[in-house]
Amino acid sequence: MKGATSNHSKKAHFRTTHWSVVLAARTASSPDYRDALITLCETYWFPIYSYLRRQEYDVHEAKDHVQGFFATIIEKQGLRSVNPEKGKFRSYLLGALKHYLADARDRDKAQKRGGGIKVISLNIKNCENQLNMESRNGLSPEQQYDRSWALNILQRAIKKLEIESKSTCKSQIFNYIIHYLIPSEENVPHRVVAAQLNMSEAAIKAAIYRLRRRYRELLKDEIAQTVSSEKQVEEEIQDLFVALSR
Amino acid sequence: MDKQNYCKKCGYSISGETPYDLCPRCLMNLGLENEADATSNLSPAIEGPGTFIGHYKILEQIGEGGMGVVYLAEQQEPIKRKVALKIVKLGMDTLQVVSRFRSEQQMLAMLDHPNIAQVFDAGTTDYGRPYFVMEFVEGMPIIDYCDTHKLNVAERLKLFLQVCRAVQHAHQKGVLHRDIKPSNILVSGDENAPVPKIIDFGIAKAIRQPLIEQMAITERGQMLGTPEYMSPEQADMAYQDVDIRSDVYSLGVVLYELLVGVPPIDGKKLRQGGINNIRKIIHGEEPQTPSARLTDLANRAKELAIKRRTEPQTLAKRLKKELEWIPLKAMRKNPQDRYQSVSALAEDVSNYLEGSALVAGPQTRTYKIRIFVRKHAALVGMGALLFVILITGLISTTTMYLRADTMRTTALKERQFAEDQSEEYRRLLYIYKVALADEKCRDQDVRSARKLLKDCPEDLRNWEWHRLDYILDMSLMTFDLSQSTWSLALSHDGNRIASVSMHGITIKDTNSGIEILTINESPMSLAFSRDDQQLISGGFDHKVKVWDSATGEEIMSLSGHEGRIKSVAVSPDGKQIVSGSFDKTIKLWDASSGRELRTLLGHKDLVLQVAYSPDGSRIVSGSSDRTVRVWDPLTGKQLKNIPMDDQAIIAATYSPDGKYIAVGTGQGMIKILDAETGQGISVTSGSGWDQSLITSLAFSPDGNRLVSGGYDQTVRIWDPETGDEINMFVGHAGEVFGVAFMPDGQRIVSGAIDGQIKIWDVNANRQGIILVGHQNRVRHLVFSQDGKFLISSGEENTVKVWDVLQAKEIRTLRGHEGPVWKIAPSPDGKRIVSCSRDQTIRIWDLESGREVKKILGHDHTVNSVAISPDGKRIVSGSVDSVKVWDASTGELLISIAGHKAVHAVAFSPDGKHIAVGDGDRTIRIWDALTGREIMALSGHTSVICNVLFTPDGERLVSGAYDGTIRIWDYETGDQVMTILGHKQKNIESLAISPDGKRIVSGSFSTVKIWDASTGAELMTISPEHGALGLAFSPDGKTIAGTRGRLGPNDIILWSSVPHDSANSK
Repeated sequence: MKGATSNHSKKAHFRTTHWSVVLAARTASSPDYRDALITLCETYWFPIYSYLRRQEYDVHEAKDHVQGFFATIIEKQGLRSVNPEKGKFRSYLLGALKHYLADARDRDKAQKRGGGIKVISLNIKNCENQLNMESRNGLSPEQQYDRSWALNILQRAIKKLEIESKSTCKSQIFNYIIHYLIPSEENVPHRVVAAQLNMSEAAIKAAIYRLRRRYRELLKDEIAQTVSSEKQVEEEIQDLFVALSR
Repeated sequence: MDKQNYCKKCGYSISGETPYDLCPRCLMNLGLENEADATSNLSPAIEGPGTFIGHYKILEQIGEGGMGVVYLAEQQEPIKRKVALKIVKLGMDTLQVVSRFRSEQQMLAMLDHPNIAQVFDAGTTDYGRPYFVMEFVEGMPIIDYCDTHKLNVAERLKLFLQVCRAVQHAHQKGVLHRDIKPSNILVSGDENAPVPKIIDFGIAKAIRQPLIEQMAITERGQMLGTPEYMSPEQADMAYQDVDIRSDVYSLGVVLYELLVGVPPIDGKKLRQGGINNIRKIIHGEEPQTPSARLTDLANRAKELAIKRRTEPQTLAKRLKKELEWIPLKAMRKNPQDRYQSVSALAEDVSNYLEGSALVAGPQTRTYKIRIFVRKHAALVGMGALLFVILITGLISTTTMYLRADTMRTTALKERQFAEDQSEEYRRLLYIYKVALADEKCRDQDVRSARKLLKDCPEDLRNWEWHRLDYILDMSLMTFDLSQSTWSLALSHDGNRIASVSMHGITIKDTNSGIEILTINESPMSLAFSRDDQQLISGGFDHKVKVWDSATGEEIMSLSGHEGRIKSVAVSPDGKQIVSGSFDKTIKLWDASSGRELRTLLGHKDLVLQVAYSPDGSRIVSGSSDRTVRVWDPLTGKQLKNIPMDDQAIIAATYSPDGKYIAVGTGQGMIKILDAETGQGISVTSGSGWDQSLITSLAFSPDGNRLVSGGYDQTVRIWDPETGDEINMFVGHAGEVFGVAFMPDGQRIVSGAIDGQIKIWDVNANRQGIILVGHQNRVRHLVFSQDGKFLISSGEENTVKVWDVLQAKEIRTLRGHEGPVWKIAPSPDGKRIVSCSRDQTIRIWDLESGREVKKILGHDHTVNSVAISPDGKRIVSGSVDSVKVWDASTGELLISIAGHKAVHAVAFSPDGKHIAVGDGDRTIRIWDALTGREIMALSGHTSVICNVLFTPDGERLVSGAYDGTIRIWDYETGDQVMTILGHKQKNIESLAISPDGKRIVSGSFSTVKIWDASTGAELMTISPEHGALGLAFSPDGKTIAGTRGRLGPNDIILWSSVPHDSANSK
């Protein structure tokens, strides 16, 4: 009885993506536009922050710049130059950031940096941890940005999958089958898990299948939030895949 | 090295926060995949000339083999040199491969031999595949070299000797090759001084994948790999079973090929079938002798002889006269029949060259018989067991014949002998039948399993027989109509079951099984009226009839259909009857007047099922026209036409809340449809074969369960919400045609065409009774002397006492400050002794649960404990000592040194001796009073975890981490038998039945039961969990087991209690 809903949602997500709202409303200063933009900023500050850190700004500078940057694009409607046909939020944001940084350098000479603006709340600690572990030398700031972006997307998709699955199937089952998301020789055979959960092997396989399918949907959904057409989803997956391959 | 996480898919080190041991790349990749290829996503080969892998610059591809691609590469640092770089291309777990290689690397570094190519390094490519870096060897595969240079037989043998010496060198350093074949032996230099080099040493092990599994992979794609050189044990056994004799085998094949130019088993033939064929051939097919092979090769023989600078006849003669014995001995199917080392093989080659006598000889008669038997055993699919039986049978027949010939005079003696033999044979036959029944039972071939059990002589039946008998039918009750039956109806109050056979309609009392009524008519379909007072039937005669269910009187006969009536139902208000017919129509009838109300037209083929919705506002119908249709009974209008994946609809029923319709199809699919939208999800897709046809479906009264019956002879319970299979019942020996839930929702009625109607407990558990209570692993189990209690010890520092009959926990004994390893009950049944990692031994009062005594004195964890038969002394085993204590005072009586890491102690039944099994692979017997050593039993090759005496004290049974159970004669200390059968190399637990006839053992992941006199395997009790502790109940009817290292922290009781004969079968 489940699963009936997922089919038609596949198409539906396009009407409501934050990025498409932003693009549609980019000339107006409507509340929709601001809300959507703030949501996006809140979601994607981590790649910006890692870009800045890779540019060798220290923690405080980077933090201030993230806030300052978002304040600028939200207040000053820095989106006028966006071409909706080509526009991916990822590219837009990086472009805008570079502009901002160039401006900021001039501004810095005159006034105090950042000025303590707080547009969104940042959990720097987690972010720093991750960057430390991510000690992949040799990445350019742009590469780091893309990589962080991809990670961000993945984490969000997985998180959603986790929350969603835990509410729809017993968490015990989820804890087992999540390990089957990717087929691996290391995995305990299905039948063993089946016995442990007192389920049939077929039911386990079906659950895994559903989980995988749902994961793909969620991942695409997550990516769809940042692109302007359905066509771009696959393209963006490919790009992010490349970003992760470095 | 730091503890780092690696992606379990590609082995890439995981940095940053990615969940579930998967690297970002793999996670993203999953998003890219189509659903179909989610299981096979190997990266394409991307490495090529010019690219870098680690410090190595790829120059050119020099080979492509079973495992991957080999490149010539240039090492850049620390030294510049040419190397061979092999990239493994199969979908293997990179990290594991590389880390296994690292652990092996030290061993490999010790290989310092001019004829062994060195393996320098291993790593992971950017694309997540493992690679190996090896000494670059310029040379030709040995066979090609010999043929190109026309080496004669003696020269070939000398070259082969060099190869043997190199392999021998590696064996001495503890390294096996595991994949010896001509392409791994490269030869360079001119014919006067050829230099062989063996490549790929250590790689097969790092990859670890059994060779046979590599074949499995290739089954899906291109054919790779070289099964020709694979030993039988490599072909079917777990990888760890491979030893130096596997290399001996492969060398034997190489030698064979050196002599006659082709390997003993034709590669083409090997590759014809699937993996099973490969296995079958390698196992079953005796290689043709080289001389015979040469003769067979006819035309090619000449050419082969030329390459050996000789004549075909001369070559054949040389081969026949002894030389061929060498490769044949090396290639014996059974490792024990081969040369036991490569040096022994080399020595025999030298013997030949020197003209000395060979160790190898022609095949003996017994060897031939054995091979014959084995071949036939393989055909039956029973493997080793049948082999044992047939062997014994054959040999005894042969010897009997011989004896009869020579000992004609002593007729009495002869008869006695014959009787002994036949008794032995009878026992073996029993073992065979039970083991086969177990196999059939797991294959759900109930009928065969039952037949095999029935054939077993009653006097030989033991635990396994009763256990199987129980598993094969867990029904609460069986009514046998002793006539083929095809339809049933359960009254709404659940008190009566009506069924149809050739005898007519039989109505039975559900609770007693007593026949209430017989109606002399055999219709096709049946239904009770809502008030149960009438029975409605749909007939082969195209008539719907209404009967008085109490008297059997015919009330009405309704005509109108023009075909057989497969399904009838009564509306919830009792006012209407619906019938579905082979005439493709559905008719509605007034239940009181019998007037035909309406005909529903629409189905294009036979109507197989009709049913009302619970509120009566809808009728659902299923048809062989592959649609489900929903009708309004008031208007007769068809509301919905739902096509069903091109499958005939045999069963359709509404859920109790009317929201869903469950349908079952001819190909075994069960689907739950939303009654409103007609959309649905599959509960099970079925096998697609008509053997899985679903005949009947029913919801439980609360709608939480769905029961299905089908042609696979099973009754299955499903969760309609999740599609999970909750339970499955075997026991019917025919296709199940009808299922129904009893009103209590706890029992199910099912009928099968063999004429049996069975009632099942929905929650009946095929696995056994499970005792839940321990929070951590359960280590050991014992039954109390009277069998009423089961006592268990666990890693959460407690001992628990369970009531066996009620299957519940009674008390927990607390006090230990570490895991409690073992426990022992006192002979009077009042006390329990336990030992723990907290270095103490404690004595508990079973009744009160009080700790009576704490014995201190060990300086290490106490692994094992036992009580003397008179209850006066306790023996305990620890890391460094074995100590004997006074059970009442706790005073130390004897301390025995000389054992390392004692895991098992036992008192002999007469109390005079103590048997101790240790980590040093030895069992020692000590005088229990003096502490004097009486004897030492050696044979085990790993830690001994269990030592037990048989109840009669005549034998000692031990289990060890070498995967064997050994039985010793206690009088002589001789090893009587070795039981090998667990695939995993660790016997964790053992128990002996009270009658001494059965041994039950638990390994890492299975529990098996064996016949103690022959060592034959009778049954796999638990195919999925092992056991750390096992115990037989004193009455021999129940085995209690823990659930192994990986299983849940439960205890399971496998009962063999026979069915209550009063109401069964």
